[in-house]
Amino acid sequence: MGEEKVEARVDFMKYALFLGCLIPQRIPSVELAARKLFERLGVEVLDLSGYSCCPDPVVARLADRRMSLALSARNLSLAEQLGLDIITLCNGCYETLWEANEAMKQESGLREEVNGLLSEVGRKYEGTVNVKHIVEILYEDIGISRIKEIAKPLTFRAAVHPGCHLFREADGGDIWRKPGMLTELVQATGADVVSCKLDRMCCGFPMMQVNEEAALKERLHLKLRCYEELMVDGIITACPMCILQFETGQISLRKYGLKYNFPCLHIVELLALAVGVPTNELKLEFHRSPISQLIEKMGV
Amino acid sequence: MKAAHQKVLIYDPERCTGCGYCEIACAFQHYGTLDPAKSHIHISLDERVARFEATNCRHCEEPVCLASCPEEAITKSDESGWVKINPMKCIGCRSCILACPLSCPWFDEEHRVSAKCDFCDGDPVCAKYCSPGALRVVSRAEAEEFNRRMYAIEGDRSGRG
Repeated sequence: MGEEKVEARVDFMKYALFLGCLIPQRIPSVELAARKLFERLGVEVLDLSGYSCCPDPVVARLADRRMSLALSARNLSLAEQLGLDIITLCNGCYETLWEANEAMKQESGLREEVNGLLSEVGRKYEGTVNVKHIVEILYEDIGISRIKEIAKPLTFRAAVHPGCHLFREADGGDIWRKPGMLTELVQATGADVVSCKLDRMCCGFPMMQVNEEAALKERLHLKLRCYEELMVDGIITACPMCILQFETGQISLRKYGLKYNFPCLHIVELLALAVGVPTNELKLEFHRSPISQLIEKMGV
Repeated sequence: MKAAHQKVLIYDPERCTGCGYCEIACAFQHYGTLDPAKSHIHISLDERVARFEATNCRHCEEPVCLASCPEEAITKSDESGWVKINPMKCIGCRSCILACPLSCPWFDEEHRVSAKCDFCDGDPVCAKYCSPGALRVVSRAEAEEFNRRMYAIEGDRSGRG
């Protein structure tokens, strides 16, 4: 792909940024990194003023499908008002909004019913927005070649954890489509991506809410043990829920005598470092894992 | 209904992430709780080969759980083919749990009766909330074809043919 064509594509990249709940409240460094990365890549993002929780991709839908759809459709309508597609930085937000969007586009009866609820708050969703995960934007819209052009090679052994909701595709779709993009994006920074036999396995975040011991010992511990055997320097994921589980879960595992201390970063944080955003501007101290140890290893 | 057309679940271990949402969704749908112990489906991991497996009711053509029930509390619908337990008739003898080769029915201590998958009346929540699509609803004919293919590959891998 020629440079001129790349620049032409970059010029009109504009999206609505959906931050969800976890990033602003628990890991704001991910938002900061995303904004600085977008700036370097020539991507313009507008905030969704007045957005709510996406909501939760499973429990909220189970508890009250209409309520869940109304909340999602209201968020989608905010992007529709701006005439922009939505970017999510979270796997959970992605699945919720993607699924709601498909339902609103395909089921006209349901759309009418949900729009009936939205009319009470003066909103309507017509179904014109596309919901995209950040890895799709980086891989498909910006492209690996553009990222490689401005990235400085980093040296570390990375484990790539896609997270369950990143596997969500339309019926019969290739579940490795987006996780494959994530792996290539990590490799684009020069990282040596190792392959663990439990790469697909859940980090245990959803199970933490109902059976903490099983979530920690039968999911998180097994993954971390695999990473330890592979001498991984850091874990890269595309989901704030997974980051929270890796970081706080490692601390919780200590009560079972299991000690791990892996740094964990979101893909936008890794790419922000790779394209030269100074570490002190990223506020990585919001993390709960030894990020400085990873930074040192990377040679940033 | 012809057996081949009956809707059943298939489970693809190559897609499963072990997130447990199927168990959480099932427990919530049937008992209003998020406790996976109250789920009719269970996912287990064989650590040696890093592979998940599901234990869920197949809604058999000739259910042995039904045959073992002394109180006719278990029925198989002629219309849908789904096998259900009537908790008002169940005496809690646990015969069905012993008879099922997978022990899919389980003993609900709270209500003192056996419980099992009721296929959510055609729209199973376990499949609906499975992000990677490891659980899907298909016809029994499609399920048999899928399982034949999957276990043939497994046989090749293990050398058992």
